[in-house]
Amino acid sequence: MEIPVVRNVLEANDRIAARLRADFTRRGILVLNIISSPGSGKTSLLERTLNDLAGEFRMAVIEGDLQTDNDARRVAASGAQAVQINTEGGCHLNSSMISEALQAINLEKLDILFIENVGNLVCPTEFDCGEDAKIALLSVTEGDDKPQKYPYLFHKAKAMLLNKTDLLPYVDFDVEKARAHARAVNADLAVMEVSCRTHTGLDAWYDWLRAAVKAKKEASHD
Amino acid sequence: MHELSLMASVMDIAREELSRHGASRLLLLRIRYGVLDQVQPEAMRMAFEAMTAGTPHEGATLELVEEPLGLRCSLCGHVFHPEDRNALYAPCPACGDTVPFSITEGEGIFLDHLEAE
Repeated sequence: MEIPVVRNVLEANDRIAARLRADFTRRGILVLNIISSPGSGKTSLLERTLNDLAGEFRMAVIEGDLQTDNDARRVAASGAQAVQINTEGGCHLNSSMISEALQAINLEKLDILFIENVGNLVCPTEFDCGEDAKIALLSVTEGDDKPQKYPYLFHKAKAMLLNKTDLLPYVDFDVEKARAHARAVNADLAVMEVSCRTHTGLDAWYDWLRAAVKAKKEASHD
Repeated sequence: MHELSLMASVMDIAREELSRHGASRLLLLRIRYGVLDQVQPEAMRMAFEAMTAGTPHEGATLELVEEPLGLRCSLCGHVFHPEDRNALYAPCPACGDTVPFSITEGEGIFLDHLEAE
């Protein structure tokens, strides 16, 4: 027998993500899903952000990691709530893992929830975790053709941060090429150049966060 | 390797459809995915074989269909379906402009046909 069917393969994940998103919106919590290759500086970016904006926002982090809890410990040192999800080799986080992790987070009086996804540019892009925005983090020690090789992430992200710009004099990374290839699949993509090590360019990122928090709070009052 | 998770979801949906239609054995299953989803067909087949081995569905046919990109020029409105993904970074073949295209097709993963007994 033929069974006529057109069903989204990710429907179960998307259903839970929609439920999470509704809850985050009701509470006015901005949720950002940070996606990058391993070693691009996701944890460094979070350390900087959590420390620099500690007096301004109440923030929490869900850390996705293949094995260790090193990143969660680094992030928790800032005083922010941090929960570790150990994927035991799994290449991405999904909405039910987030739902589970939220049991360990106090969502009352929270302004921003960061999800640090597993280091991988392909798989995490497919799985909605209830976030407001995916943030693509790229570093200049990777190839400048990453946006061309992995266009879907840059298509779905709302912002791209280019990290480790202090190393630009020492590497063959063409910033304009990376920017043009990312914008070719996403004309509205915000692009920010930062160095977490030298603390450069982070003000643009913080202003982006401030605007996003404000927009989310306003949406929750609608 | 998100193909394992994807195939697990496919099998959940397939089993649900089978039981809804009173069928018990899967004969054919077709999955359609966009070129942007970067699904690896070999990894999908391997996951499918692993998940059906030793079940009534063992030996069922898996059809994988990759959908090409659909692009629309933001300036002249020309819609086309390039075979090469690099068309994303090339000028519009109709008007020659270089503003970004909007992507109209080539994303999403769907189970779109089942045969069972």
